[in-house]
Amino acid sequence: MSYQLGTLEETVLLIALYLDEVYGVSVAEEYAAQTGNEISIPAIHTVLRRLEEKGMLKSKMGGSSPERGGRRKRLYEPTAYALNVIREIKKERMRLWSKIPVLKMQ
Amino acid sequence: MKTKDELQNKGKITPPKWADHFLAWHCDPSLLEEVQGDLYEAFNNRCITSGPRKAKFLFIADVFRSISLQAITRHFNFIPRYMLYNFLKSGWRNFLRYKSYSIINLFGLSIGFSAALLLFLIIRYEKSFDRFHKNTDRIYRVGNGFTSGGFDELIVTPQLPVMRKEYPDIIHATRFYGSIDIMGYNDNFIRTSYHIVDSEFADMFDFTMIHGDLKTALSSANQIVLTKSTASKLFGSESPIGKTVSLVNEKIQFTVAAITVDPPKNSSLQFEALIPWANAPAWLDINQAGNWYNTFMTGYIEVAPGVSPAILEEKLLAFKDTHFLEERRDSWRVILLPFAEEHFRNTNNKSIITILGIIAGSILLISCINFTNLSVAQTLKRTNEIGLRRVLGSLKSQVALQLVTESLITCTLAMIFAGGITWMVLPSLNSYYEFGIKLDLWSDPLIILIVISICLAPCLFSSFGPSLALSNLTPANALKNAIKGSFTGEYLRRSLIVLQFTMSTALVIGAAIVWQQTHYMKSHDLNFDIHNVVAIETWPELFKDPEKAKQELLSFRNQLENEVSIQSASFTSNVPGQYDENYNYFTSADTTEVKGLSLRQTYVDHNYFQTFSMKIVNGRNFSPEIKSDEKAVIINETAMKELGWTNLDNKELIASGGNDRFKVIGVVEDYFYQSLKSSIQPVIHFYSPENVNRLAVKMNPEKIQQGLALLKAKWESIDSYEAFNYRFVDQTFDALYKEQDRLTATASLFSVLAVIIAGLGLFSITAYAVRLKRKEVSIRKILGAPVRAIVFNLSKTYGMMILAGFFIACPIIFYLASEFLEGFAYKITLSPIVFLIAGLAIFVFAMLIVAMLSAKAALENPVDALKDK
Repeated sequence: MSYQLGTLEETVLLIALYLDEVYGVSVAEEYAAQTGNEISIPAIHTVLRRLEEKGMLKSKMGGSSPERGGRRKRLYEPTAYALNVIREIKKERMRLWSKIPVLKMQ
Repeated sequence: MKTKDELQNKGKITPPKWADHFLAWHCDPSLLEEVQGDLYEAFNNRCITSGPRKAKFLFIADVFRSISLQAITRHFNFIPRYMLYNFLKSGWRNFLRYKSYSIINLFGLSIGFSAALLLFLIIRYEKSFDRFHKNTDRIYRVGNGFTSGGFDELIVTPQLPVMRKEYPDIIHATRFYGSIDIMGYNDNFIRTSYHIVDSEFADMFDFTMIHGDLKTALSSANQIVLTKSTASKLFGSESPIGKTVSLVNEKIQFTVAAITVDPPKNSSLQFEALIPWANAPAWLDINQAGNWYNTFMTGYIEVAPGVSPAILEEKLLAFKDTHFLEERRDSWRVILLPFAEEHFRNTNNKSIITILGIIAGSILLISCINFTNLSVAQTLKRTNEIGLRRVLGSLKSQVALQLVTESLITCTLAMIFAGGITWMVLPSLNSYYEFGIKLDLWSDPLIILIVISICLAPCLFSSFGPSLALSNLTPANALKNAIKGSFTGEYLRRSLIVLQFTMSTALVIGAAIVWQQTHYMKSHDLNFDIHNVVAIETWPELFKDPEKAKQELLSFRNQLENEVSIQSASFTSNVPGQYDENYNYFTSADTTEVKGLSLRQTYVDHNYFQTFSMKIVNGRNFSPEIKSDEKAVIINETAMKELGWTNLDNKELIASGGNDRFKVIGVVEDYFYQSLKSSIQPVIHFYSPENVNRLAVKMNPEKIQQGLALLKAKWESIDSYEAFNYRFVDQTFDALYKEQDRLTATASLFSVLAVIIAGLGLFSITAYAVRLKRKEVSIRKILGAPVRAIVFNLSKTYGMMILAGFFIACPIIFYLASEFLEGFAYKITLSPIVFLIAGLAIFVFAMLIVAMLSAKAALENPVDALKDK
């Protein structure tokens, strides 16, 4: 099984897996908080849309709030498939990690 | 709902409106709500965390980062892709169908575009001078301003170090004094122009180093910095670093400490080697020439950031009061000349750049007008096609866009050709004008921007008008050809033709005047004979044994007088065409007379005036037999006039800065020792029979080769560092007019081009107009009108337009030409004949075109024209 998942996509997907409300602003803020790197909201939009195309996220329109000028947000939700993929990826990584001799890691 | 929103938002900080609208325009509508919502939310959050300014900036940035090409293209959906393809195809077919029209259009535009491109390159090059130093704007050349007006760019030797020490505003200062010597390494000797600089030269100027550090190299004595080409001339493939070279006549040994690249062509500071001030020759010492009297030093300072030159000049008034020689304190002051303008001060070519600018601008405009006129005329022919397109359902905007696309095709093609022409012409332009312009398209976004805007401007300019006019027609009218004759562009078109001919007439008259002035200067009687005179540099320092060489050369002069091939030979410090800028102030020994004046100094021997056939109009020539002539001088007529003398009885002059008295024994008729651009100054000739700097030899015109062989043989018999080298003085003199010659050639070439382009435009416009009147002409003919009446009828409007152009051009060019001639001391008077001849030539040229086309129509068989429907 091969998964075409870039580093940014993987990070965003991981964030999406534990965040309560997954949408542009929340993901961008969490990303900045966790990695220390600022990221623009349009960049997150692109990634979220791409993950949806790949079937790893599904979305629905959520509620609005005054600070959004009355505009609704698109809320994303990870699919079961996404969980499988991310697990596969982790497993694959660990398998490679286990091959590195202990001595070299010191 | 919305109003409630707005009420809520009142008083709150909102994201920039325009960015919001732009987002709404470019964003995919199905995504707009979420994207906009997210951006608003982020904006509000950021307002709190990082302040409204940053939030606004990030909002705008995010709006731009949200742009997606796919979403934007939806705005252009009214032209389906296949239609765009059709535009290209029909555009190309139309291009091929009207070949002559298309080629004229393309040719004119290409020339116009390349003229504009070249102009842009030249101006940018001229402005790039000395800009490669980091602090160009803070560097000033130090000079002296005179209360009587004018200024001198040279200063006394000790001035700069003292200024540097006493004024903290000056953070760096360097002198830049150039001299020439023979530089030797082993058995290899080359003539080198070296410059003596202070170590802060390295802090002020940023020349790229190939090897070593400039600052260290200039900080201690006996180190030398060479340019790359000097090093390779001297060392070949050997590594020069650490090797010892010598300045032969200064008798100093140097270690090569650093290598710089050759100063780029757009640098005002040119040098082949740099040596530290510690090695300055003894005669630059304060007890000798380097005192507070002689001004011959070039000096630059760098001021601290934020220091205003005007205020520093004020402060420097105190400097002159404490340090300058007493007699100068009232009339001199220190001035600061911006280094950024050094190039324009040196070359004085600002006017040439302006003239090139005017020419290129006019040509671009003339060809754009051609393009506009031709496009309008051409579009009017295609009303049927446009009508049909409209009947078949094309939208107005689609038709307009089709016409714009076609113009764009022509413009793009023209731009490609223009690029090619520029690329081909640039090397000759570079060598002709001694420019160092590089066309580096890809590394230079500005050029690409200019290219695109030059390309788009005429295209939009010329196609929007007709496109809109035509696309607004109802299909029925378009098909009925109702547009013919009623299109309001007629007046516009006529005035554009008048403008074209105004400009081309002005260019032709201008070129004629420039040519006349150049010819006037070159053919003016110089009051002496420069023909068949050969000048050779014979500085004793050029020979391995200077003292012996000098003796040999002096006896050679006497020996030459007996040769058949030689008429006269003279040693002199200066040859006409290259007199040194060497002045001193002289006062008359008779104190009852006017005070005195500044005289240009030159040193000659007793054969000088005879060699150049200059006339002694008063008194006598120098004589080697009269001992007292060692302290005698000969002045020119201008000097005599300015001194107010009527005779030479007991006249003596005293030089400032010394107490030497010189007896004036003769007056030479004013002769032009320099270009006629400047007027003759008062000149003083000192008698210096032992000075062998330059040898001027008047040849027997029939035996020049023989004479040259004689000189060459003599040169080779003395052991010298350089090969035998000579110049004819008339060539030296002609070289003074290089700038003028270039200007004449350029102006003539381009004015001819302008006339040709305007003529081409006239040709196609007339062809079009005549075709419209084909039926009218035939009917007139049937009713009995003679051919010449028809030709006259068809041509008279054009005749009037060209005359109008001439009358508008005359006052403009009269004004510009007077301004141009202001720069010359000896100038032609503007005569109406030039205007008339140039005007007549253009009129005849234009009328020939018009009459030819009209005659063709008039001679046609009326049946052919009338049966056409």
